[in-house]
Amino acid sequence: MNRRMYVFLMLALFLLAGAVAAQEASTTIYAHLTQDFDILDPHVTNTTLGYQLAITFYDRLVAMDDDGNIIPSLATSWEGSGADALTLTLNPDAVCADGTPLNAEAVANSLSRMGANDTGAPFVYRTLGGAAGATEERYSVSHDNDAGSVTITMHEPFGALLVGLAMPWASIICPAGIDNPDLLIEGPQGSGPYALAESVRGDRYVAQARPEYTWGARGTTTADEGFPQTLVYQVVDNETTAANLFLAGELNIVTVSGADFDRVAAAETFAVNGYSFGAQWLQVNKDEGLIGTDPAIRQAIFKAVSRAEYLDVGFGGRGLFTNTFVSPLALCYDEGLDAVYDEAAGFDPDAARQILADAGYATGADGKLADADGNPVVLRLVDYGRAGAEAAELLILSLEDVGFTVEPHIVEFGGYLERLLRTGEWDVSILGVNPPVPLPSAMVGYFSGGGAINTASTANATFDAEFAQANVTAGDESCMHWSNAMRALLEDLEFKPLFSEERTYFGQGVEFTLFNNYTGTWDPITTRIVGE
Amino acid sequence: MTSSQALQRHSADSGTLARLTSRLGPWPRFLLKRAASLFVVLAMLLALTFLLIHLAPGDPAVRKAGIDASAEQIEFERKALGLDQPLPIQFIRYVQGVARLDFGTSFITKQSVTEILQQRFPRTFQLAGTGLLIVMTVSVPLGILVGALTREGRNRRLEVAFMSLTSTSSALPEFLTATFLAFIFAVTLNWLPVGTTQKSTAIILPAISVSLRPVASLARVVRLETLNVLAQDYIRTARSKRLPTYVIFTRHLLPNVLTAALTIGGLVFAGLLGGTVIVENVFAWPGLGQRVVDAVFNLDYPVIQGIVLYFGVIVVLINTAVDILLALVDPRTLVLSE
Repeated sequence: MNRRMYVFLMLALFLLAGAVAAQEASTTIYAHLTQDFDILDPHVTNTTLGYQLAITFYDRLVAMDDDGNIIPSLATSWEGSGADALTLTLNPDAVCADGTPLNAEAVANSLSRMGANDTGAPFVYRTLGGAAGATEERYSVSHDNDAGSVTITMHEPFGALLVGLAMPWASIICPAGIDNPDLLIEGPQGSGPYALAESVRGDRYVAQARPEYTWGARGTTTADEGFPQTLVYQVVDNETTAANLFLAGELNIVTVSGADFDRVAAAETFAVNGYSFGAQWLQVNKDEGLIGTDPAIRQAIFKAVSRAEYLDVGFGGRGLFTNTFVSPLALCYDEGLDAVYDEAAGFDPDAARQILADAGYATGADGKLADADGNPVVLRLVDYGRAGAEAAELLILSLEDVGFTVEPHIVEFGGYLERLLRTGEWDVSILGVNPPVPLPSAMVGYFSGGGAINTASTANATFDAEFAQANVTAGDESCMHWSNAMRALLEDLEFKPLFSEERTYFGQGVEFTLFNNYTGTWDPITTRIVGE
Repeated sequence: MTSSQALQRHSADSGTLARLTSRLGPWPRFLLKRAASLFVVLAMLLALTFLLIHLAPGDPAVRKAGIDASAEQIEFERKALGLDQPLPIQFIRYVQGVARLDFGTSFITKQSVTEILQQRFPRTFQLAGTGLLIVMTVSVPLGILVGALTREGRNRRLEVAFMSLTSTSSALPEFLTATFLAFIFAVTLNWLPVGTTQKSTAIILPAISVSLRPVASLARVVRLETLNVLAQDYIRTARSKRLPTYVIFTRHLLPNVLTAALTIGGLVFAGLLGGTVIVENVFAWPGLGQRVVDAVFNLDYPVIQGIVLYFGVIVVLINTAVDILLALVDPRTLVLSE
């Protein structure tokens, strides 16, 4: 071989290697995981990271489209509803990643295990209706292998059962995982589009597309053009580092906030915005003997605080105002309650001062309020600084502006939870919850019952009666009851709704949608690699 | 027993110990004293890490049970964690657990802390070890070189430049260096990766970040030691004998300077381990530092306890090893420790 031929061959080999490398790179994407997962058991996980991995490795019976409509997934069709019984016919092609056919019996076993008390699934009550607690008695499951169908019979009707079945915790676990739940701790046992190829805890999780996967929602198969064949989840706790990785081209999908959001947004890449299904709200502790039991005090607090300013200062104006404890995107949201909100809790410091004066609170020469005995009206504000020190300062100044004496307790998250959940040593706080399910029923525990999460000790008989009716009815009737329930909370000054936080996922070289429009997760099924 | 009797007994015991140790040679006496101080430090470390869970605000049972948990579930978790027991019982159980290398389970990831330590320490060790390599290979030659060039008031400009540069570098906190390096070399120039441990070059920026401060500090120490040695009579004697410069440097200067450098090197390694805590977060390096910061934000007490104890034990062991090494290299240390 002469020298020229040798050089030519080497060059050809080099180019070929480059082409192969480029080919490999084009089918692999790197996605940001903001934290390590807790457990890969989709029924049991209670973190959004757990959900993200669950929707990568598992299927659900139904899915949700971009408009919030229920569409087929593992179940190709269904009859009935959660009002009594729901029968779902399954896709016969579905096979678990370990090769086991996913027949009706396997699906029924997974559905039974999901709500079994021994499973300890924390959020399955949101699928089956009712408050948090034991769910085993709320339903039963039967199957017909020949017909390829499963039937869920509700012992307590729940109109939004189908929506609940689209949730990550309602993922279908394959027989190997049902038989041996220990396998689910760190390894998925699902029928989803990906199988776990490599796992390095706290560092990365490599998911490999299953070539046989043809039963995805929206008719998705892993052979679809642009479907990522390898999906690498990179655990990056620090948002600044995640932003750096994204800007350096080492991550394809990222979600960041604050100053890092501005940096990444400036790159003008693909972006998907979403709003929390839940909301943030201002609440006053109504424990017996506390000042918050006085409705005048509550209303003055609510009217003293501008939610628009709080959103600007704490969240860069990125949010959607709501008139209740769920976002305007949730089912049964009633815009008609805006007027009730304005009347009860809309920002109006002058009205706040007048309400306090009418209730007998006098303002001294120092501008501070005092009760009938001349004692200053002190509010213990507890916050953990999630929205930043400036937002907490805004709250303090707003309350002081109408005459309250504020005793701030800006603590870290543990101290915040301690006060809210256990000691009750607080008067004013802001609470925010972002459930993956767009149903008001997911949030009732924060405003009803004796659970620890009813932190403000709300006890509103009208609300309790109306949401109970809303849970057992469906459609417009259910929505009417929800509207009545939420109206009662506003009129009785139980809380001040603020806003639903906006969250953005950035993509480079990829396009995707949010899973079920939920801001905690993006959807691997809809993700496609696009040209540079 | 009265207090005076107790005092007499204690004096008698101390006297017995003193008599016993006096019969031993200097090495056994030295090792015995080191072992005793090691025991005391480890006991204090155990007590401090145990108290961590009690002094930190927030209820670990609430953290473990989750925000949605009922009062019964929280109480169940409190019992499961043993927090319903008196403090001394809890401490005994903690010590027993540590003796079995059982540090508990992470509230967040449900992994055993021992498993976390096993998985992540090699990464931290890799980073700190690479950092130490950089420190020793850069600071020793640099310090000797600048020391030699600036001896006896020569090259004032070089001395000022060296002092300014090393002062600035040793004052830079690791997070600032790391963020700066990441922004310049990874994000802007795209020469090196920000994180992604799959790439072999991924360690370069984190290792430079953790080593910059100790490089500057050690280079100053080595320079001073070089100046000190070069001013010694035996060096003058060597020069007057017209020994070649490389012989003076390699046979007379280097061994003396290296003794000081190695002594500090052990302590530098302990410092590098601490430095990794922030740097690992900036570069998404999956070591113990990244994990402990994550645990602090999530109030994952068993992980915090386990990692703090682990780091503490390593630092204490390194310090002890340095003491022993010093005694081996320079037996005068044995006399000084008496």
